Amino acid sequence: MLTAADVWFGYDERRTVLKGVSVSVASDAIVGILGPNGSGKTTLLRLLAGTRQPQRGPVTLDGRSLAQTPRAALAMRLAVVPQDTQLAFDYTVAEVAMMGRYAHLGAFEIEGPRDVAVVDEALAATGTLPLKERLYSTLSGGEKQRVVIASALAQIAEFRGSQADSRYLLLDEPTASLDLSYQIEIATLLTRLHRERRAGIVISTHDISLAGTLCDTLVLLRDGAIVASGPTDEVLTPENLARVYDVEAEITRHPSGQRVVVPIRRTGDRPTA
Amino acid sequence: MTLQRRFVRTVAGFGALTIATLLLAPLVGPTSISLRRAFDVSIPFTDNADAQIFFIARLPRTLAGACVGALFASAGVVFQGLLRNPLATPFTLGVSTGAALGAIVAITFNWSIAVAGISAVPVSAFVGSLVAVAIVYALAQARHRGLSTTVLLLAGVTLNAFFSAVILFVQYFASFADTYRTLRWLMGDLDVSSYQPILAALPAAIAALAVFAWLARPLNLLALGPDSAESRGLDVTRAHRAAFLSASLATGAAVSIGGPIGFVGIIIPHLVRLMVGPDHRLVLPAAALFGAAFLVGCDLVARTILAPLELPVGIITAIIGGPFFLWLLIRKR
Amino acid sequence: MAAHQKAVAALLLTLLVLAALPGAPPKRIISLVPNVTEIVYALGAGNRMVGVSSYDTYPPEVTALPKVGALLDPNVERILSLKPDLVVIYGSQQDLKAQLEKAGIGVFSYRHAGLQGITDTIRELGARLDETAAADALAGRIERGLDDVRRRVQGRPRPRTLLVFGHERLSLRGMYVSGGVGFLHDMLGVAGGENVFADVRTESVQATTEQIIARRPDVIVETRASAGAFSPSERDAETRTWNALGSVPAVRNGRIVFLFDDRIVVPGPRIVDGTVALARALHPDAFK
Repeated sequence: MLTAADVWFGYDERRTVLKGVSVSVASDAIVGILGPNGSGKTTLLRLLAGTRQPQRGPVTLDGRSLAQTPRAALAMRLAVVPQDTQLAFDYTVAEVAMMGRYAHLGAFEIEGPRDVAVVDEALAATGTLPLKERLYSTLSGGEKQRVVIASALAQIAEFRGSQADSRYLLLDEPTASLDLSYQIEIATLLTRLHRERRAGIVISTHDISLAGTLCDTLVLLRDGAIVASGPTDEVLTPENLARVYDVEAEITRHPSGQRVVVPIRRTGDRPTA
Repeated sequence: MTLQRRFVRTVAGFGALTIATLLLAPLVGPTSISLRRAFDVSIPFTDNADAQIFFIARLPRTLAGACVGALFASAGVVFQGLLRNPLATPFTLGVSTGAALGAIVAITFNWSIAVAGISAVPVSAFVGSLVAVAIVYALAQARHRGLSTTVLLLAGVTLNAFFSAVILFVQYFASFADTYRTLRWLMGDLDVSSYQPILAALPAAIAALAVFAWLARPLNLLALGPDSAESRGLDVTRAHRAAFLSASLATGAAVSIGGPIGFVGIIIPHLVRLMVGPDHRLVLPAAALFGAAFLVGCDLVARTILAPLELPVGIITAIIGGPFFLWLLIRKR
Repeated sequence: MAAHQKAVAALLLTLLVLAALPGAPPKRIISLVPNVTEIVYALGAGNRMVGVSSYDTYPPEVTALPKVGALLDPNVERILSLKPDLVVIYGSQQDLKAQLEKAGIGVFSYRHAGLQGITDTIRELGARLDETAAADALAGRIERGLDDVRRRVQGRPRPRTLLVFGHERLSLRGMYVSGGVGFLHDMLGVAGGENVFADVRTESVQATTEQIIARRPDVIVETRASAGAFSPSERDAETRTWNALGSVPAVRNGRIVFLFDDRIVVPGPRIVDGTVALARALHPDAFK
């Protein structure tokens, strides 16, 4: 269980970005964090990943505080996938994926056959094994994102940890910079990964429909505080959307199974017709 | 091919080139000497002009060139990895401007102190580089979280501008001869005529290269961006700090020996990446070896192309560097 | 013609005649070139000097005169404020020349040349200042003085000489020596020495360790301005710095000479004294 308990965080003294936020992520859950820009979504993700420490309130992984866990040990259980990854130099797909094994190797240790096997498996799981020797920079947006996810999977794959340890994949706006077809690609992949019970998944996104379809649990943030959180069916209501986004919306179930959120008008605007 | 095998092949290949260059360079020069006479131990050293040319003029010069070339090239790799920009050079963050200020002050004010057998100008240059590093580091640390490369870059550029202004100010009071000598120092000169400067720089060089070896994998990860690298388990602040300090130390040592010789720190990393790929575990040793061979080669050309005149080595590296950049610009899509 | 018309015509005629006459010799002289300053004084025209360069030190009278800058930083305002009618400038100061000519001020352009150039400059300047007799006398004295030196060293073996302008303190790096061109090289020839870098056709050469060892100078002469003179302990330290090149005959035989003497490094009227000083260093027994 990855838990943030009543955490407060500000980047400097003046701005408090998160105020008393509590989130719990089970190791078989797929949680979506929603909210308008500036609501603290990305910051909450960073706190859950352990790359930032809250000023108040602990973030714990299976009861152990992240701040007190050594960096390498943490990296083996929590992996972050950013919105997009720009490489400064022209690495191959295999090299990018292998970077996920950093925490598993000593300072001068070179990756061994086991690491290669783990990376291959991660690439296969994201359908990018055929791209292994290609240069990352030559891939499409969707392919790039899948390779980064593979790198994250390689990072948290069991090797030195025990099978029982819970693992988490945290994705920041995974589909925001992708074309429609790649959005479907990533959504399908995440669903499959969740089904295969590889890791707990946390997604921070502004795409309400995506979160509504993909996630079994939602956390709605506004101005750094939680407006509502819980199972998607309960939380994704027009009332909550109005409170979070100041928008009147309708939520429907599409025959394909996807939840679709249709924004109608801003609350307070006159109806146009 | 596994990394181990690629590593061995890379080091063997570039190592062979470097060794060949180091063996050839002392044999060549504007004067023709007899090797047999040079190594003839029956002739007293002070009477043996051939031996003096070989062991006092050429050999230290070759070793200095190898040392300086290796330091500039590998420091260039580290700076490019730190700043995540293949156009970064060892001079981007102000280290060499600090060294230049130190040297120019020593020349203009005619300092005559010598430390451990090293004369005032190299010592002053090294101190100048340390001062520059300290200032840039302090400025970059002023922001409370970590060592941001953006702030490093701004601090380095600011320091460059400020120290350059101070240099102009000092130049104003310099005599014509001093200005001339300063200009020539800025063009680079490897005629050390003694092993002392190399030995004096060795501790700093070895320390820097040892840290480089550790930095190889962190630099790979930094290519993903500091946040991604951090989440993969890298202590980014520590890596930034180690990279900045070690590469600056290497650059300061190199500039103290031979002056601010340009283009080595940017041509060699590019060429090496083209040949062995971007994995820093291969690029760093290859760059060090190739940088040594390259600079010794350039100095060889500088010494012989306009005999009996000997050109400053910085002119040769610049003549090669300019067209190289043009070619880089043209070939990139 | 009416009376006033005649007067005007006479006036115009007079002005026309005056304009056609050659100009009177300059009375207010500014010099940016120290060695030319010395020449002006040596020609007896020192009382006409109204301003000198920042680097002028000789004769002592110049210290009281206003300073107007030098080669790189001539102070045009200052120059104009002193109302000169002749300004001695360097040949390379083209902008300054244009400004002065626009202001109607006479310009004497000095270009650095060999030993011959000194007497040439003396004669040129003498003509310009209307002191041709003094100029001829001075030039003649210099030429005879140089011939006298030549005579005294004639027939003696000419030592291979390295004429050093400067290098880094306590180090052999940044070493600048005289090439086969320029007045110092010429002086060396008159003084009975053979420049080891005579084959390099530039005034100044950056000499590397290899070149110095290969050219085996018998004597090393370090010449500098008087102002930079070494103390005895500094002199010893700098001499010892040369010990690294033990195979060089000059080092082996201890023939390293320091000459801090403006008479040597300034190509002016005292050049004969400078040449004698140089010759004495090379052939001590000929100059008791």
